Amino acid sequence: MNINSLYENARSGDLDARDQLFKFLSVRFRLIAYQRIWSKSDSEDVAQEALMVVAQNIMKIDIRKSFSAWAGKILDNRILTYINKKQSQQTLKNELQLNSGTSGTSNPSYDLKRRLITCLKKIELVNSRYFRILNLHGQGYSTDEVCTMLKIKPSNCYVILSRARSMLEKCLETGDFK
Amino acid sequence: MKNGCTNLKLGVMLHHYELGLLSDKDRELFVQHILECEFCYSRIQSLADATKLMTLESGVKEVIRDCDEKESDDTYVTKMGCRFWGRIKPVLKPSFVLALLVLFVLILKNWQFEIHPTQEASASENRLMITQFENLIDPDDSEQLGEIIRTLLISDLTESRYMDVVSNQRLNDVLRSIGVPDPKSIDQNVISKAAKELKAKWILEGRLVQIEPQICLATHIIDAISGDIKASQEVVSLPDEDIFTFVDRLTLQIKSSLSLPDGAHEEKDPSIADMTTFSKDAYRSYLQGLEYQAKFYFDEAKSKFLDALKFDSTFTLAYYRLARQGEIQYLDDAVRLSNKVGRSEKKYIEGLASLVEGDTLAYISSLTGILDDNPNDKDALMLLGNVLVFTGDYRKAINCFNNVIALDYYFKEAYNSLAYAYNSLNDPDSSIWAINQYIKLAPDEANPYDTRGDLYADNGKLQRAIESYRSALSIKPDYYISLEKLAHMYIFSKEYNSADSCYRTILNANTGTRIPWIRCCLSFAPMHQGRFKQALKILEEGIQIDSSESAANGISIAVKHRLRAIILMEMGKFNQAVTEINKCMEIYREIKPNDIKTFLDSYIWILGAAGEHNAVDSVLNQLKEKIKSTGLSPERIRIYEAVAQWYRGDIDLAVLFADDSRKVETIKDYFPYKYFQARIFLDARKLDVAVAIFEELLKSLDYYRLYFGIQNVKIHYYLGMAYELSGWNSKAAEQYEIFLDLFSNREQQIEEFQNAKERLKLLKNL
Repeated sequence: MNINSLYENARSGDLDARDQLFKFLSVRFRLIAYQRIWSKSDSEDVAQEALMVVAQNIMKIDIRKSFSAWAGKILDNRILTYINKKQSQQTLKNELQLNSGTSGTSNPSYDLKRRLITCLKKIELVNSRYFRILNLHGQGYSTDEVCTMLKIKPSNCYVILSRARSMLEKCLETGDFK
Repeated sequence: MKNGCTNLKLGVMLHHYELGLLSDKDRELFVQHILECEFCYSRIQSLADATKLMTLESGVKEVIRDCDEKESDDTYVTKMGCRFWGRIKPVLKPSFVLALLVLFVLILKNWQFEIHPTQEASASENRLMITQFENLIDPDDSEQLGEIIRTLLISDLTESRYMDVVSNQRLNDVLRSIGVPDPKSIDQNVISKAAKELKAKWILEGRLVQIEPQICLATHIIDAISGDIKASQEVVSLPDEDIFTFVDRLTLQIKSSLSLPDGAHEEKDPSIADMTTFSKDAYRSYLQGLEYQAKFYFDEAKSKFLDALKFDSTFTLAYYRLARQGEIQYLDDAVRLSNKVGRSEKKYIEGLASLVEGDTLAYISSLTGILDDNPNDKDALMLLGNVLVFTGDYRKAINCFNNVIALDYYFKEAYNSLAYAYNSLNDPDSSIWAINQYIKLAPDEANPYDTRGDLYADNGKLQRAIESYRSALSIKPDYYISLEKLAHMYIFSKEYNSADSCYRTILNANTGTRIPWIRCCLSFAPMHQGRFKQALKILEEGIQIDSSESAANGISIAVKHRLRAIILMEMGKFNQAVTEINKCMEIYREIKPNDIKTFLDSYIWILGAAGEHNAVDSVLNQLKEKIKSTGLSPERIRIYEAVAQWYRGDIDLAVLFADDSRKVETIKDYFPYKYFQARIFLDARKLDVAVAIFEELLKSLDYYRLYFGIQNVKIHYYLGMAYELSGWNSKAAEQYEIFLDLFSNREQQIEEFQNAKERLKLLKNL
């Protein structure tokens, strides 16, 4: 059952549907917030705030278009408020401090980093445009500007990254993307 | 579950979304999509950690930058350039290609505009490679003046946050990888290749055109891509100016010649003398010490570092290097002076201090911090690998060493460490491959053969171990570490006089910190022959010499007291044994009051054997109370409980605890624990386990077996018993014979000896 259907059922008074909807949103909101904020504790807070707003208004407002768009917008606003307010740089640095865990075990983040770098170098041999696009973005260019510079369409740009992502995912899993 | 994306038009944006590259509008749409599409949601989850690293982690971002091919100048422009292009476009109304050409010309003309990165640009884009400085006055650079200036310059410039300087190590790695092993003999072609490989922006070349009465260094800064000389200058030292102040001035001049952001000229430039030393002689000795240390010639390295300290007693790095090779007494000075050194060196010192305090986690954290700043730091990778070996994480250690080799195929120390790590993983083929690689890379150095000897010894190959240690000594006769191990091997081969001769040679040389330990080693041969009184006397003499020699010999004295306790216990003199072990503990507690683990096994052993069960219980209770602070797991304590119950006569409980203790990884290779386990299982008639453990104990020729020499010999007796009880009479007879042969020259009655004789007689009559 998808989120919009859950919303419809919840609005009709189905309490189970309402519970499911909030559980669903809770998990998704946390991931989405984390992807922007990169702090587990802060993203948890932001997600909770967004959920509260959803909970307060879900029965009051008749959402005609799409519940998911409305809920997503609420979360996005909360995230933007957070980003504007907070000095996130130090928090991000702290998040990146590698926690070594118990004696006798190695650092999983460090291991992932090693594997990630190895995979990126492998991908470089077959998909150099991926890095071009990333670096141009890193220099501040928008997707449209990047596409203009590389003489490609936006859809091509997305596909280049999408293909590279698939290689990366496979390489991280198996050690190679072939 | 998820069959596929519900909206492919949005789904294809997934990676853009993950990396934060979508416009606000697209991002909103995509967030809505994640709420609706299970497939994309789960895909995001699966790569969340990796994309986090790609977004935030400087080392990964640098790799992404490096992977970028800057082939077309028309695409590699700054954002400012692109906006400028946007402004001129309506004026000139060029075609797309012409507009780019115009921009290209403008960029070439206004190279300040091109090369000036914004303040936010990362330092790694401004990478400088400094080649070997030619010394025109002394082409061999016999005083290493060119090299000293160059390495000081690298150290000084490295402190800038606005530029990246290729380290000496990294440059040599790359030179070797392109087939140029000698960094002194490179031409322009090689320099260009190296610069391209390293993605350097600038190359700095230098020539010493005068060294007396003042130093005159001519430098060129070359654009690595175009080959054009950007700046040339001659820097002359002032009268009476020392080399460090000269390098400080040189640093400032070089930075001003490079097109760096304003911040680079405003940032604090620490004096290189403050970060290293004010003495040229000290620095020279230090560099020589590093060369010896890389060859594992620790005595020579120590001598050079001490020389450096004679010239400059505040030379932090010399203290650090001494501490790093085991001279821990210098660590406090390194820590005290650590504010003088650069960022990375400070982390190394702090890390070592943590390690010495027993905080392995903090040590690992320091090393990973260093690697975050510079993923290519081989030294940090090696140290991380070594500590992972220490914690038993062999596979991850091997990864570290392999990463070092990936950076530098010729980095011989990595093969050395790999050989040991593979051996620990019971992978002899890989271990042999690694050691052979090491020998190929360093055929004229002693350490590869010494390592090979260690590997043979660990696998019970006595003759080959002896040959390998002899090979090491033929290359370097004063390689005392090999001589010590050769002596140990002679004891295993019953060449007791040869062993004694080797130990005495080391004592007479009187070098290194192992001398007190060698005095202990003199007792091994007598113990192995059952000459206990002789062994006790040797240890007593050793204690007296240690005490008179230095207050720093406390731990060695404690080690000797412990061994005396064990010998006395075996002789049945329990009261004296308890006195000795108490002395051992007292001495050690004075040195390390917070360490309650060391010698604990022997303490419980002796007390248990002496029948002081209440004392044992008291010790165990204290241990359990402090279990968290000791870092011991409950399973680790099981072996102590097993021994305590065994001596109490409760064999069932002893077996239970012994069984538990076998699960503990960190103790599985420690001789006395395994010996107790085997004895307990034998008494409980768990013969298969007892046999397996005794056989395992006999496999490796390590020094623990010599230190616990009496027990080592008695293994043959107890293994004989286990074989006999299992019905393997011929194997039992063999073990009894070995045992009887080893103790044939004993000084006193040994209970097991008589039993072995009788059992052997019985077996032979069967």
